[in-house]
Amino acid sequence: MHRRNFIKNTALGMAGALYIPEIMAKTDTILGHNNKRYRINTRWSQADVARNPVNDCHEMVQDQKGRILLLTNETKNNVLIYDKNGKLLDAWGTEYPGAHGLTLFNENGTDVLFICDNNRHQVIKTTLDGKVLMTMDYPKESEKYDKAEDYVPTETAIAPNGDIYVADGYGKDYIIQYDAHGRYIRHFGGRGDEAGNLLNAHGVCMDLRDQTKPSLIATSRQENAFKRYDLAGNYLETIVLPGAWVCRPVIRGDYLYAAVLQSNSRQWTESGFVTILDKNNKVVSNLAGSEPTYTGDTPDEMYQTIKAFQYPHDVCVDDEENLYVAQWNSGKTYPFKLEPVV
Amino acid sequence: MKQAGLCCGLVVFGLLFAKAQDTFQLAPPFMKYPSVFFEKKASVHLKFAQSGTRIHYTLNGLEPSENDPVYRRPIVLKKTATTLKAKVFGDGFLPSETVEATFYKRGLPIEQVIHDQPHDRYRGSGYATLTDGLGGITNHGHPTWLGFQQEKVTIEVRLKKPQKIRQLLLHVLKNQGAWIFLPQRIEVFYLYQLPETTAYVWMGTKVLDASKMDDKVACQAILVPLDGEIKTDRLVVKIYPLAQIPEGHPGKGSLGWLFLDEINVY
Repeated sequence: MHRRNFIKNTALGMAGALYIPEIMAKTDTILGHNNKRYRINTRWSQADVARNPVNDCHEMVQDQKGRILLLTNETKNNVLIYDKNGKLLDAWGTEYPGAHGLTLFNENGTDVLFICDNNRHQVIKTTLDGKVLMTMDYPKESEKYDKAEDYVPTETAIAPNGDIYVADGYGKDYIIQYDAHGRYIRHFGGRGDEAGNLLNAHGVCMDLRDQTKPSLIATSRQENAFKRYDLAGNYLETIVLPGAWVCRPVIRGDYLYAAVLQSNSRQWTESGFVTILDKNNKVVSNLAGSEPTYTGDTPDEMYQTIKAFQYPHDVCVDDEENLYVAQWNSGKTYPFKLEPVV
Repeated sequence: MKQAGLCCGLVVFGLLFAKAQDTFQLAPPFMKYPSVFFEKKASVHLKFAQSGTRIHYTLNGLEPSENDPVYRRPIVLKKTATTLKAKVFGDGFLPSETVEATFYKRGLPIEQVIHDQPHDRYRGSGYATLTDGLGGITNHGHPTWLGFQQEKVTIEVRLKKPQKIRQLLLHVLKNQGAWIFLPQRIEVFYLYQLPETTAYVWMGTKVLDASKMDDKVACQAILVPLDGEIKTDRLVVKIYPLAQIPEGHPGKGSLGWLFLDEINVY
């Protein structure tokens, strides 16, 4: 044996010997509870930060081809398109300085996107490669708005018939319903003391889990709750989530997933997590959050337990049940991927 | 053989590297109490619903370590000015930051406080906000707080009967990110009634280093020692908020906010 090789091997061997006990003692970080547990990968994105930077990563969706689309308010590339392994496939968009909401809708077999832009006070419908199909301005017809600046849309949900529901989550907290051509139908929600009012209507989604009774779920984030309406905007119920500043609801299969921007008990200190509710609206798992417990029918106050996330802003669930978590104001970090633990 | 050893070493290094970034810190424990002020005793709950973790705490002001007691049931405090510090430890995680709160016995019965009008956005829960015994919630939007943005805040404290007063306690908030600073000066007087006029007689002053930069959000009790030999039922407290926010803060040069949730005299 050459002396040089001997030293090299010994050094490596020693390092191994030193560190093995630590590795054996350390288990992988598994987040979540019950049948919704995940292994976190913070380095999923393979995008080159110099070429394809992000700012706030607001929302993510998966298209028919299985690609993962991310919306960021970085105007070098507002939309980043990845494969499921984190390889960047495409990027486009420079005209969405307030890019916030990203919803994908299968329109007669073709995927289209709806982008909510906070700064432009508009909702923009585009093709998957960024061609603008329709631009919707502030809803004058509702007679609730004097000027565009009062309207700060954060999210859209598209009904099977093509109706568009826009959540004005940073404006006046109304949900505004339009037909597929962008013609105003009605508005509901808004601020106030009634059960059907909203406070920071940050997200909205269609709930088609009960095929006989399709409904709409809107976020009342500062109230730490979701609220359900029928498709004509009649209030049905409140799902209280004490302690959790929930962002938009995301439904896949029987479950509802939501990024929780922060814990109410530790506001503006990067105290976010991810929550998962079953079809009975019961919290079954909190990823990086407290184990769900109930007093009667009400969840006990929830809070972050592991600092895995800073300010999670959206969850995307792919066709293999993997989660992708996009974050706001979290050091321009790319999304994380979470793989289910079976 | 040699090759195998090298590979093994590299694999070990690879595993280490892969794991290094995913070793997370635990969040601080969730400390729950109705108020940091108590009559006879305070009962404090700590929560942390994460399996494989333990909350360790101290009552002696020192940083909790794994040698300190493990939290199992609500902690009962009876002594005034007791600081509870708590921290979570768990295998495979970095220990949490420490959370702390200091608990105080309530003082002499106060009949009424009359104070300047607080800012419209932070009016607390009404006229009794400073004497309702509720305080110590660090969220400045909580209705226990009065928020002031003015050069001087005057508060008159009326006791039920004339008493010897040794100390004044002002419970304030520090959240420099929200432009909330400690006050720079507090002056306390008692009212001396003469047949034809009322005189303010100085009882004590406290000067604080309010412009010291600190990003920690915390409540703080400011204790002003007073001349304890004078019997009075009326005090006037003049609080001077930080006049100029220092360099290095986005609000430099402007007036600091003062947040006050409770006043006690002993």
